[in-house]
Amino acid sequence: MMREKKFYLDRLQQAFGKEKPLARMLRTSSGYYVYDTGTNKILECRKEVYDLIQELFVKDVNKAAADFISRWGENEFLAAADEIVEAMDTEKILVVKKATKSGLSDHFKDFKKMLTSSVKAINLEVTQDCTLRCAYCIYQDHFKEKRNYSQKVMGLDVGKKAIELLKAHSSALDTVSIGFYGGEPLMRFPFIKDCVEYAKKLFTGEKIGFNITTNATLITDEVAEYLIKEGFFVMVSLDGPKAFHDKFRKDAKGHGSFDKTLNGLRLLSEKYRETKKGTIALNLVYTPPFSEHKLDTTNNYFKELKWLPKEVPILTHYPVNNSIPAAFAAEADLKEDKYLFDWAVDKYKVDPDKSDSMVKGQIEERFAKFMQRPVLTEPVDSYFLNGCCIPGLRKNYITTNGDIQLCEKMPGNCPAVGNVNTGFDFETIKNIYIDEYVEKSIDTCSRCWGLRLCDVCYVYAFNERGELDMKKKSGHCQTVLNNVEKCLLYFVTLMEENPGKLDYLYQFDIK
Amino acid sequence: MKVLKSGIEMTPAELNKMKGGACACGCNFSAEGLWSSGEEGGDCMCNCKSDSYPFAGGGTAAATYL
Repeated sequence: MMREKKFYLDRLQQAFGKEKPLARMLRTSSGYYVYDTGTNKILECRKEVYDLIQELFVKDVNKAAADFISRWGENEFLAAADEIVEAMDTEKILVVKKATKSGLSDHFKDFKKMLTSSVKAINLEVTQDCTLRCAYCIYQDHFKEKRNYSQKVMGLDVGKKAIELLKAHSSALDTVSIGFYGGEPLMRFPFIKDCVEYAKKLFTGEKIGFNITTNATLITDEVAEYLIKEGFFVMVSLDGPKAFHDKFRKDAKGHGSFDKTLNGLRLLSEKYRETKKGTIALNLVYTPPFSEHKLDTTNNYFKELKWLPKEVPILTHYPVNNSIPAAFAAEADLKEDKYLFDWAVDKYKVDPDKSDSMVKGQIEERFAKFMQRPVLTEPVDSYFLNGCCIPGLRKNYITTNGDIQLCEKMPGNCPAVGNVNTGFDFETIKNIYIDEYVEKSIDTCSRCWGLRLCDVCYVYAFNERGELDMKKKSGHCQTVLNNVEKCLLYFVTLMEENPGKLDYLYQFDIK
Repeated sequence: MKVLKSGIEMTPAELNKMKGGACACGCNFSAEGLWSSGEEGGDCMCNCKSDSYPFAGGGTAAATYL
């Protein structure tokens, strides 16, 4: 039942008066939507309703109403306002205007308790040396946030201490994870085997998931057999066909690494086919010059590798910011004719579940997060730490000297959260990674419509000196927010064009 | 206005009780068993959803550009 104009103005005043609600308007080529932060809902609406909400976001309520009426007439205003108010009442949208502060710090005692019994993983920096000197590697001299290559290696005593730390802090879990990272970890294959054996002796009742990130140049028949037999998750870095791969991924003498990497991948694939144990995944850095043709060529290349198991996921990334050296700047600056994500969406929308691995690797996890996101019957205004991990619980990058860093992606000089000899440093975790992060983030984050979909984490908030740097974080925020919006737009477009086609993503395993 | 069919509808309380699920803010604290009350089923102590897969690629940590 339609009410009088004053009724609607009063109700709209509640939602859009002093402060605007946290929400985002989305428009596709044929549809109009509102994403509501408080409930995490996406609502479809008529064009007129969309227009009115847009006005309400940028103007005083009376002015917005007057302007709307001058274009659409009073009857249309009443109809549109009625639909908005009804959605506010039934779907509880447009309620949350500002997120409130995280309670995490207040609960630190419990958090500390959790760190004593539920630590899930360690990732060992086996060596700081590598068989390659990839031009875009973050361990090259020109990339200032990270250490450079060195001869430093992890001693077995440190490796064992790290495994003991994991054992001591994971009593509540039945599965833990141990990773081997570098440099190139397979430069120290015997060390890896020693660690695996030690871990298997120590963890008698629990399942251990081993993983390794490798350029595969040192994978022999023996190494492949071992990794697959032990059920490793093996992430192989391969940038596509030889010409693309070898341009950036060279050894210290300047020789391309493609042939060795492909040989290693083939050996792994053979062992995998024989036993169906372990997991192989490809990590592909999409390098300049960027072009649709290059993406198509790369995708076709992998499709034609008949010996590569179809189930191998291919995860494609642009190089890390500032990691492309000056020598390639001209190519990096060339305007892209197709962004990676746009390219993947164009392919994916033809038939989502039958798309190629490289396409799926770009799309599925992002859309699965939308598909499986909690949609709330009541609005929630809690603000927490964006997409940060739980310090100490999830990753734990153990450096060669035994320091515990949050993860391998953190800038090198960030405060350690402990050491394998002394355990976790709860003071540092609380003071820097929780209290300081929350205090410095809250002003921006609490007024951001994207806070439930944001994946900004500590990695983007610390500078090369290891300091919490809000300027750096804010710079990244805008990129992330733009990406989230773009992703949402594609998501609703696909839902329009292919209703039900994304339902399979309800089952997708978001790690 | 019509809600687009996606997501998993739940009350904030249900959400926090759901082990293995995400919390109201989009984090995974409840999946980790971190309850502010110290007991399962209380408010979630957030946060975290950033770990898209067990580790980033060798020396090429994932940029999040689309």
